[in-house]
Amino acid sequence: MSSLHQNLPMRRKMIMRKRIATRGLTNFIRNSWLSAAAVIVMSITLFTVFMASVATLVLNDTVDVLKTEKLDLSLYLKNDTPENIYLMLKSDIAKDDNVLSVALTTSEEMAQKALESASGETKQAIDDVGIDLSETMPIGISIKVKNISDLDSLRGVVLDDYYRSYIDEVNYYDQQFYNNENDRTVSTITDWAQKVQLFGLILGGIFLFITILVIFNTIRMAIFARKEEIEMEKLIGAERYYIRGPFLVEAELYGVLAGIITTIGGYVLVSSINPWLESQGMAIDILQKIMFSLPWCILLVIGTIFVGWLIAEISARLAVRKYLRY
Amino acid sequence: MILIDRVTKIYDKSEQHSLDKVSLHIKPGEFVVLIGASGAGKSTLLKLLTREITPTAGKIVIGGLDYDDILEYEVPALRRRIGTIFQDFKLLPNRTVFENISFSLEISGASNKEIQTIVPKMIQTVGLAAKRDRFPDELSGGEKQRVAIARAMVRNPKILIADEPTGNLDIKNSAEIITLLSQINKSGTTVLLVTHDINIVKTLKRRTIALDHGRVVSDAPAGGVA
Repeated sequence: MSSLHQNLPMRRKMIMRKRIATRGLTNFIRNSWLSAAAVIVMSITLFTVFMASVATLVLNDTVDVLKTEKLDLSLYLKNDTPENIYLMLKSDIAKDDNVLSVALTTSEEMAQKALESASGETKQAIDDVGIDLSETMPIGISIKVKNISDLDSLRGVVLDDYYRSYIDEVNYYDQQFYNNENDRTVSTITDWAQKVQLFGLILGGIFLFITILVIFNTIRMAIFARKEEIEMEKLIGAERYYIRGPFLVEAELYGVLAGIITTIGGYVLVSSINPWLESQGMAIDILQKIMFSLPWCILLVIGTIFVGWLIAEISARLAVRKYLRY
Repeated sequence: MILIDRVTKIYDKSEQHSLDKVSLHIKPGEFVVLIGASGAGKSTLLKLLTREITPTAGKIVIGGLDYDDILEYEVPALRRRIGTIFQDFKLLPNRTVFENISFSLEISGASNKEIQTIVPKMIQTVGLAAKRDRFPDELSGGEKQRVAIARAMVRNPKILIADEPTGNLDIKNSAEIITLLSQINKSGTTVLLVTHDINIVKTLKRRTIALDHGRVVSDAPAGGVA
């Protein structure tokens, strides 16, 4: 190393950085049409990935909710099932590893519930006929399971010869439970979630490739447009980072702006489709939590902008490395 | 100040010697004129001095800096120590006179305050005070070259390399530029002037080195060329 090597004092480094940033901004404004095109293409890419992530999140959340809350099994025993049998069955079910909880509803309780939910006319008709509902209503066993797709062991307990003759029906997955099928609703939604994820990834990948090409070419054109200026800068002793820096700043501005546009667009769209999603029975709790609680919201905004910045930075560095060597 | 010791340069494609074992020694504060026809090797020599290219063989030492020891990333720092002016001025068209000159300080990390102090003085020195806010398109050839000289000198280099600075100028402007270079030399800066204009050589009466086909064919001391 020669005596030429010397580190600039921090104050001068800051001055240089500020000048690089200013020149990058000037280039961005000077090439306003190219800049606008680059920002739009990048925004489309980020928006595609953003919305695919939102869709995957909602679908996965819906699957989870269906698995843990809505897809509980209801087992109905015949009205005349002896108490010791249904209590023993309840106890055996509770021992299963896949079972979260078991709740028993006697035929009297079932009758009570039925009467409570019946309309006035129905109640009147029941009174007129003089039917004792508790003598006709089944005994209900409500089971919450950890994994609805894995009911083999539970099936083994319930369909045991000892209990089978007492079982009236298994609702509302009756057929699937008896036929050893996976839950169709869950598998359909899971399937959709995977498809959306894959579609989002493919589409995002295509747009990512286009974005890298667009930014790469925008920076390439900017380099060619300033060829003489760069040549002069080199000859009078501008450092490499001082010549390259403005091009990188210009591209970084594309990325950051696209990130901001995507975040705003994403929030507007998600806010407007949230009620519709809810009305369609989709679970939006996690989506709400991520997008509308402050810490998550900040993280999401910064994350989106960072991804935009990163894509732009990589594209610009490729262009600068190829067309600005010396 | 400048030591060139048996420097040879062969460009890869041509395999011809652009410079063939050229040796020179230029002392601090000297004003040296380098002359030669096209293809004599003048431009190659200047490119070697500004480290745009590296020699095939030989040694170059400027101001105690051995070029063999200079790493690639140190080249900009080397160029900032040498003032260079060109036949085609190489000014930034979208910058004013002031901005073109200040650019040389900007790349060194000078503060705005320093720039505001130094640049007006330099503009005054080259006689362009009335045109500090003009763009290059609004200047004559001679004025453009003055801007280029101011840009080269604003960092106060010890060496000034002038590559055909009067090549695009008329006689009057040429004479003014040469006078300006002489003034710069008087203030202690070593000047290496490349020209093919024999009239300048005759007027200046400075040490004159002639190159031909990549070799030094004469090295006449000051006042030696008539």
